[in-house]
Amino acid sequence: MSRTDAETVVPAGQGAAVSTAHSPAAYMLGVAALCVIVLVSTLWTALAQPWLGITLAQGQKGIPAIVAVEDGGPVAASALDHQLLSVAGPIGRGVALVNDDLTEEADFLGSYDALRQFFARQDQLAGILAAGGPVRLTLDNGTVIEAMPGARPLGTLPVAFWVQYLTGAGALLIAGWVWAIRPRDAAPRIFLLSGLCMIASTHAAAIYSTRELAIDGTLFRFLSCLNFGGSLGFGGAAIALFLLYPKALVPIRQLLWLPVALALVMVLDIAQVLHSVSLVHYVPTAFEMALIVVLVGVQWRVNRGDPTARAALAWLGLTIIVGAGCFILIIAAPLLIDRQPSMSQGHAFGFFLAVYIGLALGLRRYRLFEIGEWSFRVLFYGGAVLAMLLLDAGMLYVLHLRPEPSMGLALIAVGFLYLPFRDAAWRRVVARRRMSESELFGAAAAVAFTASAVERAGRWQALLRRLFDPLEVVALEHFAGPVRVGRDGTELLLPPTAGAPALALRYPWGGRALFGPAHLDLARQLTDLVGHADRSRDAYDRGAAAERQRISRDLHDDVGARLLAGLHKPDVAQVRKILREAIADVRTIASALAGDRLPLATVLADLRHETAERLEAAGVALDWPPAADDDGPMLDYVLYHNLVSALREIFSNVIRHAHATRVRVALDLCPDRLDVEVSDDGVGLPAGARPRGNGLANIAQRLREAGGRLEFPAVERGLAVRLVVPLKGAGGRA
Amino acid sequence: MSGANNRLGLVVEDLDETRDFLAACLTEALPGMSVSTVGDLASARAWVAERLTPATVAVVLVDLGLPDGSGIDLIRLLADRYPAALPVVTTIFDDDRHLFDAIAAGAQGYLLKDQDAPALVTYLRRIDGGEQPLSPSIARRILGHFRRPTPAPETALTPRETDVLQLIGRGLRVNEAASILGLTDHTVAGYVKSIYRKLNVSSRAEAALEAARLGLV
Repeated sequence: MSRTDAETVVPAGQGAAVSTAHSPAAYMLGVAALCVIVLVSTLWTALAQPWLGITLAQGQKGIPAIVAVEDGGPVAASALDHQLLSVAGPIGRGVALVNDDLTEEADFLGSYDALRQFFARQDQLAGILAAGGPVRLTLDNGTVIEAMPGARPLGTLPVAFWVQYLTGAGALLIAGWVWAIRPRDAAPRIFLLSGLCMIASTHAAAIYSTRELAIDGTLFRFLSCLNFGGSLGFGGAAIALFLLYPKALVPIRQLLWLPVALALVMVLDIAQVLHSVSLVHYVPTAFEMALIVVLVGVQWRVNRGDPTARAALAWLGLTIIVGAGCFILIIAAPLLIDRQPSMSQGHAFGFFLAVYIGLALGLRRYRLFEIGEWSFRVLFYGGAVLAMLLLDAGMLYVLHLRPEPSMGLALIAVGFLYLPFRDAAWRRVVARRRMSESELFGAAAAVAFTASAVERAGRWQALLRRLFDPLEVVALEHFAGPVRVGRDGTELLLPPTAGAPALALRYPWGGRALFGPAHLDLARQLTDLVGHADRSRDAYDRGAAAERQRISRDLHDDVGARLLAGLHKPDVAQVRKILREAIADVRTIASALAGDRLPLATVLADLRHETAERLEAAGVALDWPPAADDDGPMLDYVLYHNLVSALREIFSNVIRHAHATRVRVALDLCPDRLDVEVSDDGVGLPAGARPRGNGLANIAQRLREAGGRLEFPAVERGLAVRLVVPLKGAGGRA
Repeated sequence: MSGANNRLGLVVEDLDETRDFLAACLTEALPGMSVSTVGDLASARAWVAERLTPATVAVVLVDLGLPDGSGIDLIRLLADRYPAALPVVTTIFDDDRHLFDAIAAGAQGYLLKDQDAPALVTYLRRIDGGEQPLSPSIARRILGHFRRPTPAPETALTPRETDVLQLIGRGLRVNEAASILGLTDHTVAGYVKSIYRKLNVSSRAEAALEAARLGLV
């Protein structure tokens, strides 16, 4: 199977293959949509938890302390700075609180036993809080405060929540962007997987690590599992990435062992076979980290002959090792030696956001994953769509908070301010711009009629950019057409046109659409149109060049020869005569600039007029019946130039040598031949002296050039000269 | 013909020898005339401003390609403001486009500078006598001009004028055209004169129309 077949080229007029492919922006849109779904569900879950409006911290004697109370919240301000002994429902016994209930991350607790207890307590506490009735809080001074848990306001979510929230979203967006641009390549796919793992891990942690006191145990277990699986998966993805990129170290099938190994760890975790959570959670993580470092080292060695790959590896490797390494050193390492991390895990997740941002920044400089500069437009587009959707979500949230009476006002504001603004923003950033037909025609004409080849090529490319707005335009060396769509509709191939090389236009309309049959037709017509104009102009240029050459030859041969002759004449009168003849030559040559071909009648009319004046000045009568109204055949420049020059020379001879009183000119026009006979009543040629001088030899030479001949019919008196000129080369009538 | 003694002559020509040659021809053709010479457009304008009044009778020989501009501008100035002056184009090439433009601007005739002195003197006297030259190519061009709808209907050619142009366009001379049309040479010369005038008027009307269209007036 040839390479071309493998590329899935869409043949002319057939767009079936198009439906199986998607443009980068379509993938990006999918990523952005997934991102929005996750962002909204995470936020909704976090806000749906029962809320007391208190902030708890580890307190003395293992009992949590209330370190802050929300103004106007469910709990009275008097609870501040007291330890919270227990939480109870309206009836029944309460649950006594311990510091461990506040743990940010369940696996900090060390053992699976502690973990099970912790989840059981979370279940109880969450059950009390979510029962729907008031809860009773017992403080260390013996007072019991009743409070009605409400919905958690957005503003009470702590910084740690937002760091994790944004880290997850950023990771998915950036990884999804890389994948949207190279959806078929293994490395970007793995990178996308890492982004999915990251958002799963961070968003799960964002929900439970910033809980006020408790969330439902089942949810907690699920989120905890998601968090662990996510971090494990992120490490696994990074390992897979460095096994494949920049150089594949193992066959791609071998990568399947990775998910198998990770699944085993997960099973180990869920089954709780071992005693220590820290061991199950952090040893594999640390092992992954070590493996990443080793693989980066191996890739470094393997790529020693390839500086570009090394540069990409250095950036990618360092970003991941430094980012993930910082996280592990700060969070996992202390836990492995039974100490509490010195920094909140929520904040430490920020290192991963740094990883992804670092990768995005390095993409262009180091051409990571072979991604071109243009791909930033796809990211921009994804970001714009995301922003727009979030704006909509925010608008709904704000409307939702509004009390009833101001609802009408809010709707008016939405209708008159928000919607027009949103529409304008959408059109500016996202919508596709179209070109009208008249614009298109004008632009195509402008391409064809631009003077210089470089400018033409530039305008051609500019026109294509305006028409299809491709993300990437690549010059091809070996493509001669015809126009076709390739790579599942993401690419349009155009043959060399208007002085530009063959071009591949990739990812039309900012990567938001694919090339279809209609675009193929348009491109084909446009290429034909511009190509045709191009060839016509080339033919014209060649004609013009030939004419210039002819004129320069005539100037040299006719005028130059005359002037040279004049240079050597001793007599001033003779020099003047020669100069006048040279000027007459220049006149004929210059008149050729006005047009290539002239009607015979026009040529003869001008010659007749000129001759009449010359003969009149010389006192010789002219008998030359005027031509008919008809224009006669069209004469080529070579023909009329030679004819006029020959006749001029003949009349000069008559004036100079013949001592004639009358000259007669008779024309005989046949369809394929013109005979011109000039006869005078002068002295004629001395016997045996013909042809006389250079003049007649010149005339004969000119006629031969025009394919004709010179004859001397016998006459009784004076001299007759007949010019026979073939007209077969001369085309139709004017 | 006219009181040559109070007439002025001007030769506008950038080549020194040609200027002297033309001045000599002008002096010979119209004796008693005081002939001045200048080498560029600016000096010609200065001379006109200083020496001419609308009533001054003058013959001005104007070269078209001057170092500081086109002689056509000077011809237009003379035709517009000095109706008694006789602007005549002197040219090396009887390039019909430039000559047509010059006639449209108000030139009363043209001379080919490569002719010898006797021929030039003859043609100058003819122009001065109201016998204006008309070559076939210029005749054809004028015909082409009037074939288009003219903005000033009163300047349209009469059938006789059209006949004259057609015959000259086919290479006939004025006297030949006259004998074919059964007219006197003098009458045909009068037609040529009126053709010159109508071309001048109609091209002015066209220019005015164009200016109005462009919003210049």
